[in-house]
Amino acid sequence: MKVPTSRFGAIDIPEDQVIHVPLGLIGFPNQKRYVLLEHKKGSPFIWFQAVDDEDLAFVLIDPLLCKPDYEIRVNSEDRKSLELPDSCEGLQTMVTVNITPGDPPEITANLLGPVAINLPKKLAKQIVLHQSPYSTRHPIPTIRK
Amino acid sequence: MLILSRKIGECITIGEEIKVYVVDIRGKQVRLGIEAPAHAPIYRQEVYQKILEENRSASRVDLADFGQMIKRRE
Repeated sequence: MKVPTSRFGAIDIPEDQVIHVPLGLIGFPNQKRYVLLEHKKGSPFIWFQAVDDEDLAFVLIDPLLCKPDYEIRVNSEDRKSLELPDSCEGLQTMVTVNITPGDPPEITANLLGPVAINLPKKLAKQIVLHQSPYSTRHPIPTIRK
Repeated sequence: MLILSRKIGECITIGEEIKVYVVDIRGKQVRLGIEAPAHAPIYRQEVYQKILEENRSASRVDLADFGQMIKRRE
């Protein structure tokens, strides 16, 4: 299927690669379909491009590359919506990346609202961590390849 | 805004599917029990608001700016 995007032009993605986000990301409840696009081949940064809004895209990264001891608890309610009733097998946690203005500007990750993706089922949900020490703007250290 | 008084153990119902119970009141803290269907997720407002603002900001990352910042770090 062809997906028009304002950042990457029209992209061609197999329909079975579409990730469904039934509740949308927080603040974007109407956008429920996304695709994953590598920033560059081999890059740890992945774009999460909305299928039905060409302007809407987020950068994602594996939180363990930002904070090696990152840990979250996925509660039963979240597991249910991700169709993972018994275990977290196949679950990939990603976090959104932002450019935080400053001198110099910094690349930061939102560790407080991770996006949990059930990769085999192509199902995702943004999880809100309560009573968590994590920040929405955690500086990302330089990533060694 | 509708404002109601409730005692411990009492409940309010919102629509067909949402129930909010007053479980306990201690000093200035109220403990609430909430029953809601999965499509009505429940968040503490201050955490939700923080993530909402961060999402809005992160959704505006420019491809060229981002590419440049990554390059500078390499």
